[in-house]
Amino acid sequence: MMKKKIMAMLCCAITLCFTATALSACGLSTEKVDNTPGVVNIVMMEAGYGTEFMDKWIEDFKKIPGNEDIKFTVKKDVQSTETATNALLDGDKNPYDLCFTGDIWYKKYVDKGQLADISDVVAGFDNPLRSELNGIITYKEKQWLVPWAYDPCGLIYNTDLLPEDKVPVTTDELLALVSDISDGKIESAKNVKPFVWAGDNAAAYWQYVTDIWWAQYEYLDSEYETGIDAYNNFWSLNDTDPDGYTVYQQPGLEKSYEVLQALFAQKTWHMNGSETKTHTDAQTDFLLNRAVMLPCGGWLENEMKEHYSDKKNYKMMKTPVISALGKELKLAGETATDAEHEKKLIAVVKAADAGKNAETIATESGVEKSKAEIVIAARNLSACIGVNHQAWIPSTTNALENAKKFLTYMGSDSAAKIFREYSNSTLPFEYKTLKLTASTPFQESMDVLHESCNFLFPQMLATPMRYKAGLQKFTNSPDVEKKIWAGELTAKSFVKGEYDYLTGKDGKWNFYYNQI
Amino acid sequence: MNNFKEMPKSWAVRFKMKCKKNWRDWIFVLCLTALPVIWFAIFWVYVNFDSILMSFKQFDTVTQTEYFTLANFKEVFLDIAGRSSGMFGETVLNTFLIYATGVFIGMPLCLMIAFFMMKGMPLTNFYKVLFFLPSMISQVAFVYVFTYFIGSNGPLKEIFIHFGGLEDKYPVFLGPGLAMPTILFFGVWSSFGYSTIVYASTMNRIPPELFESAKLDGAGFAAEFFKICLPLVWPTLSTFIVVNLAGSCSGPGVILLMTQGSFHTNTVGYWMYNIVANSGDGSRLYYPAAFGLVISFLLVPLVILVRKVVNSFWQDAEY
Repeated sequence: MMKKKIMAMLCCAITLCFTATALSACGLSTEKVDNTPGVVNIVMMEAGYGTEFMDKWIEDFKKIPGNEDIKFTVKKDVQSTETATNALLDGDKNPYDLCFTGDIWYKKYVDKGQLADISDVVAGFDNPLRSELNGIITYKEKQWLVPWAYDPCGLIYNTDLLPEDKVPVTTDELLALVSDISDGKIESAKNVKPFVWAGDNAAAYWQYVTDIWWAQYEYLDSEYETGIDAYNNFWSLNDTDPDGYTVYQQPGLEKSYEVLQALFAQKTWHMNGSETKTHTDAQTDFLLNRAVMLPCGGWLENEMKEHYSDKKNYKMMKTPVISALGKELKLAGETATDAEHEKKLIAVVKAADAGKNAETIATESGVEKSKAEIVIAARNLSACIGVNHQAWIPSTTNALENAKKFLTYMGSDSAAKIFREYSNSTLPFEYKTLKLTASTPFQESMDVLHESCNFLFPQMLATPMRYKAGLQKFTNSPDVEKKIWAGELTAKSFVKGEYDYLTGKDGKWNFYYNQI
Repeated sequence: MNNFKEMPKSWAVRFKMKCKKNWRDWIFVLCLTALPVIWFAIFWVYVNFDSILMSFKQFDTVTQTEYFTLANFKEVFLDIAGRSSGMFGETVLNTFLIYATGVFIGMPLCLMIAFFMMKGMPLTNFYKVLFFLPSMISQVAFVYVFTYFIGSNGPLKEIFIHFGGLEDKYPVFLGPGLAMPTILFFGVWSSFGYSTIVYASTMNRIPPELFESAKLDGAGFAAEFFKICLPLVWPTLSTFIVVNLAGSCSGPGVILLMTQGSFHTNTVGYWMYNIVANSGDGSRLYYPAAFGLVISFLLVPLVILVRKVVNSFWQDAEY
């Protein structure tokens, strides 16, 4: 009898445990959210940029007259994107008023009326948002989100291992440099590998340079006004053009991956096992002076500061200009050799870096002014993380006015200073008068890119063929870098494969096109 | 009336009377089974039913409504037999390679160890704990620990260098050429503990008198294993063989965590995961649903065939 009672109680207890586990996700939140109208409940990403800046922002925001009584709660969440988007399903019970998340593919939420229109916020910034972002955040003629964190990405180099005068300005110089490093000809970089990269979860960091080489070469493409247009049109697939697949035949695409193929040709140019390193492993190796260069982004400093705050010996270089551009432009004249074109290209790029305009360069170097303009434009292109970090307001908020006020504050000079101080990063605004202080050479180098470069970034939301139907950037070979590394693909076969996947026999283009 | 057989013929009446007598038992059973039944109804019945319906639909962007079509299946067949036929063929091969390694290498190894454990080899209980311990750890954590251990920044490399190995010569286990063997090794090793314990438990049910009488007849270890043990545990083994085959195409498994399909390690499960993960904003999952259905239909006859084959080896025996 006793045994039966004990068994019954045990079974009840187990059942209760299972039930509790199953119901644990049902809104029994332990966070202290205040649903009083007017209180701004923020959910924010806890990741590479940290969260300290948010606390400081709130502190600073409340110092502004009229804002003293506005209350905030902040939930710091590693899964902020999922938390915030799942909360949208709760409708009016959504506790959040302002969300700082990763990419939420916002258009589908706009279609469902779940995001608040923040066009007035965007129009009311003290400092305007960078112009290249307008198209990205605009949908149905309104603005719905504000990117936060807007760091350049590209090749980062160790300033102790690579002297400034050796920093390459063209891709041929880059290839020669890695060869010299590997052969021990660079004294400061003896016994150090030229590259380390993160093949496990960040092989696509290489696209921070290949995309720029691609866009640089596209300045030659008569179909587009600029390389930027060509790159953007790749993402938008030329809008509603039924032959939009032709963007996969942009010559710059193959040329850029030819350079990558050349960089991958010698495995000894890369730290052993790079193709299987995680991004933190690769970053750690780089900071421990085991490699000269690392494809990465502006988050490096902040992400690694917990253990490597003493490391200041690195900078981000401007992406080298693709040498094929100089050869195609015939910079040194119609009858000159490739080596002469390359020499001229180097000279023009260095003159551009020194701040000379096209006219001066044309006069000094003998290059045609129009060609000099192309090289200058190509030199001043950089990748950035784009809109991967987004701030937005759910439409069900009961603190709309205060949330908008806080978002507007983000565009102020003081918000920029705080963000710089606590995240070592930059917000996506064009500051009218503010000159941010760079406390490290890395920040200094990124500021140079911010001031001088046009930014390019992935735009999966550019067309419904991509964000609804799922046409990826590279659908046939999404891991193109690893395939080229393993010798499974060449630049030529990669581009052909992508094009044929869409347009070959039984090509999938129509499947995607019909989704528009 | 205590004898159920003496009760009136009508099953409803019999049922009612039985419930009346044992209503406490019924409530207890209902409470215990309510949650799993609801779980099953939502996450298996509804999800699969909805997925099957979705595979026959597409979205009309003009009228903004869904309509029924077979176009998704056409795209699936074009993908697997046309556009990506080379890659998909390799994917299928990898899937069955992983499965076959489990059946022809992992299973015999586990059986041998289980047999020796049953025969009372020294430290059997210790090995039972040792083998089962990894099964208690989350598979994700286990994979991460393993990949860290063998990785190019991991302890194994430090040991390698400590014993005179050159940094450049350290094998890249998840790189080109070694990725698939590493995954196969991990697959066998990680399932070792759980399978061994299950087989050992099954073998422990075999009446010891059978082994004693076999010994008296002069049977050695090999005869005991192949002629007594294996036929009697075969129902358990055949279940594993069939269930593992049925599950071979589901879930990205360790591929997602280790190589993301790179270096010729793609499997059908990871291929399907990729299709869903890259289906845009997730508002149109018709094609992934159709893909899953096609794979299921291709797998069903194979599972039935394998089941028929494995069940033909030995008859079930009661003991």
